Amino acid sequence: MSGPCAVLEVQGLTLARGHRRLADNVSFALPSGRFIELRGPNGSGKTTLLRALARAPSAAREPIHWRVASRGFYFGHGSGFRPEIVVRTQLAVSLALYGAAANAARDQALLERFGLSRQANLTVRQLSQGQLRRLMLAVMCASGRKLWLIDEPLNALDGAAIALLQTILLEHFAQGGAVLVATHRTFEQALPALDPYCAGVLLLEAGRSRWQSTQETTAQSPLQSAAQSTQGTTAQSALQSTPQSTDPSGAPSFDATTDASPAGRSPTETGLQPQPVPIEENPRSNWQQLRWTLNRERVLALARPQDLAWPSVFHWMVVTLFPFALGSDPMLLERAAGGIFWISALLASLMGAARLFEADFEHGVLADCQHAGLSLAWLVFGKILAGCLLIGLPLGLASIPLGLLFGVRDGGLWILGGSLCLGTVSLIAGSCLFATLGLMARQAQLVICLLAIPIFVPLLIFGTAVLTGDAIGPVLTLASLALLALLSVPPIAARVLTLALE
Amino acid sequence: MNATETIAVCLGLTLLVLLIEVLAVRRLRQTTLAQLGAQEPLASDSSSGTASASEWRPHAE
Amino acid sequence: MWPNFILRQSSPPVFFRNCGKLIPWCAGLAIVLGLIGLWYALVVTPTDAQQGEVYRVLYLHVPTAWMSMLLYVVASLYAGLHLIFRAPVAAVLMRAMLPTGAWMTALALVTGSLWGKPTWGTYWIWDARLTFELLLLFIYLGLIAISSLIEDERKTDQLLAIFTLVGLVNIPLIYFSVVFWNTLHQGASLSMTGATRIAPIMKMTLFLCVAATWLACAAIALARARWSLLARERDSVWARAVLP
Repeated sequence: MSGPCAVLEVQGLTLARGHRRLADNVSFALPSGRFIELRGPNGSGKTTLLRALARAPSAAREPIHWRVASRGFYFGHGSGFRPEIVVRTQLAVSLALYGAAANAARDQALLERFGLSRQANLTVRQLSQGQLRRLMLAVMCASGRKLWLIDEPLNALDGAAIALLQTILLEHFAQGGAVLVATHRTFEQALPALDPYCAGVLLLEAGRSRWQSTQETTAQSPLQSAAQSTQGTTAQSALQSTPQSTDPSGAPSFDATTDASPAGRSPTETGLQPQPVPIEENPRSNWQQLRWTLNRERVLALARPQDLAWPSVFHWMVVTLFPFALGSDPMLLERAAGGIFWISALLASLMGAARLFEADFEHGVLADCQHAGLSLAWLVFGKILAGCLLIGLPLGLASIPLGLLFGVRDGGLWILGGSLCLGTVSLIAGSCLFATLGLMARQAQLVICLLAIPIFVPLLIFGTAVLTGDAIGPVLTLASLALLALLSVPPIAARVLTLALE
Repeated sequence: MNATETIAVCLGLTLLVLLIEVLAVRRLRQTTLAQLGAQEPLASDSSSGTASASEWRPHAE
Repeated sequence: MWPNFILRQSSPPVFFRNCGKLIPWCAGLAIVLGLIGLWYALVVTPTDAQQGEVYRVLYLHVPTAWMSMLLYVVASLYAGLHLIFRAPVAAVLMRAMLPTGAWMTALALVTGSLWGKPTWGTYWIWDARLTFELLLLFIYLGLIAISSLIEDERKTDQLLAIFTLVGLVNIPLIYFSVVFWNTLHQGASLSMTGATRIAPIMKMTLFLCVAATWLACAAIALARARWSLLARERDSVWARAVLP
C-alpha cells in the first residue's frame, strides 16, 4: 500500500538511454525520512534514473511507472549557475527558481552557514570546485523540496563540507524529507551518522537492477513511526499490495497482465494508479515565470555588458564591408542598402540567439528549469523578449547612423531603423528556434544553414519591401509575422528543448 | 542545345533519378535482410516484442 | 469498426504485408502508364505554335513539380499523425517520402531550367515557380539532414515531425512572398506554363504523366518505408518470421 509517507514510488520502470536498455524492472519505494543508496558502475544508469525522476511523470496515456508526492530536486553534474554572475545574486536567482521569495537576510544566513560569506561578492567563476558544490548544497537546502535526488555528492567536498552535508541531511530527514543518492563510495563510510536512515540499496549493473532493503532499525523519524505498523517490515511488501488495488480499467496495458508474484520483484504491467493528488505542476503563475526569466537575462546582461554590444558591432562590420566589395557608386549602394542591412541583421540574430541558449544548456540551467517545474515555453518566450530588447533593439538603432554610409536620406533612416526593430522580433524568434535545434547536436549547424533560408526568406522579402515603394502593406505584414512568430515559436522550441534535455 | 537534345536530357535525367531511387531501395532491402539474418535467435524473454508504452523504453526493442 | 481497422493497418507486421502486395501493382501500373504517357507526349501531341518542340519538357516538369509538393503534404500528414499517435509506421512513412520528394524537386528545377534556356535564353529566371521549387529543395535537404542528425531514432522522429510541420506552415508564406517579390521587382512577367495553350489532348497526356509519376513515387516510397520499418523492428518477433 502506498501509504501517505511514501515520498517516491517506482514500479516496473525500464531505463533506457537511446537504444540501450540500461536496467529492467526497477522497483522500490522510498518512505519519508529515509534515504536509498543507488550503486552501480559507471554508465549503469544512475544519472539517467535520477534525472528521469526529477522530471514530471509522463502523460496519462501510458502506464505510470512511478509517482512522487512532490517534485524532486536534482543535485548533480551541471551546477545550474552561470559563471559571470555574482555569488550572492546567483543564490537569489536560483532560489527564486524554486519559488522562494526574495529575502536578502535569508541569503546572507545561508552563505554564512555554508562557509561562503567571504566569497559572496565574487563571481561564480572565481569559486573553487568545492565552493561551487557548497553553493549548490545551499540552494538544495533552501529549495523547500521534499525529495532530493543527489548524484555523487561526495565529489570535491572537503571534510568540513562533508560534515555539513551530513548535518543538512539529518535535518532533512527530521523534516520528513527523503533522499535518493547515487554514490561510488559507500555512504556509510563517509557519513556514519546516517546509517539508521538507510531504507535500502538499489544496485544497477549489467542491465539488471537489484533492490536490497535494510531492516528497519530503532532510529526512526517522528513521521515514520506513525505509519510503521501499516507499512510492513520491508518496502517490498508495500509494492505487493499495490497491484491488487489497481483499478483494471485504469492505465491501459498492451501485454497480458501477469499476476504479481509473492516475491514482489517482478512487477505487473498495469503500472500504478494515476496520481490521486496532483503534483504541484507550476506553483508559480505564468507571469512570475516570465519575470524570473527576464530578471535573469537582465542580471546576465549587466554582468557582461560587452555581450550587448557584440551583435551590433558585428552588424556594423558586415554593413561597412559591403561598399568596399560593391564599389562606391551611390545609386547602387542606395538600392542595395535594404538588402544588405537585413541580411546582416539576420546573421547577427542567428549568432546572438545561439549564445542565449548555449551557455545555459552547458551549465545545466535549462535542465534545472525543467526540474523546477518552470514551463519551458515561457522560458523560451522570455528569452525571445530578452533577445528582442538586448539584441534586436540595439541592432535597429545602430542601423540609423549606418544608413548614412549608404546614402539613405533622413526619412529613410527612420524607416530603416524602425523596420529593422520590428523585423528583428521575427528574426530573433526564428533564431531562437534554430538555437534550440542547435543544442541537439553539433552537426545541427548544417541543418540550420539549410532551413534558415526558406524560413527567413519571406521576412527578408517583406522587410526590404518596406524601404522601396509603398510601405504600409509590408509593414503590416512584418507586424503580423512578428506576432505569428512570438506566438508559435515558444511552444515549438519548448518541445525541441525537451527532446534536447532528455 | 536544340529541342531534341533538351527533351532527351530531361527524359534521361528523370529515368536516371528513378533508377537511383530503385537501386537505393534495393540496397536498403539487402542490408536489412542481411542484418536480420546475421542476428542471433531471440532469447526467451517474451516480455519484449510489441512494446508497451513506457516512456523510457525504445520502441524497437 | 473503422478505428479498429485503421489501428490494425498501422501495426507493423500488417503494414509490411500490405506493402508487399501493393508495391508490385503500383510499380507495374506506373510503368504501363509511363510508357503510354511518353508515347503521347513525344509523338502524338501536336507541336506548340510558340515554343516549338521544346514545350514537351512540360510533360516532365509539371509532374515532378506537382509530386514535390504532394509528397511534402503527405509527409506532413504522417508527421502530424506521428506526433498525435506516436506510431512507428507513421514515422517511417514520413521519412520515406523525404528523399523521393527531394529528388522530384531537384528534377523539377533541372527540367525547368533546361526548358528556360531555349525559350528565354538563360538557364535560370527568378519566376515564382522556380524560386519556390528552390526554396522547397532547401526545406527537403534540411529535413533530410535532421533525419540523420542523432543516433536516437525516437527523438529524431519527433524532431523531424515537428520541423516538417513547421515547413508546411512556411510553404504558403513562401509562395505569397515570392509572388509579391516578383510583382515588386517587375522581373519575369513570363511564367513557365503561361505561354502554352493547353489543348484537351495535352491535358490528357499531362494527366497520364502525372499519374505515372505519382504511382512510381508511391511505389518507391512504400518500398523504402517497408524496409526501413523492418530494419527498425528487427528485434521483434514478427521480424524474425519474415526471413526466408
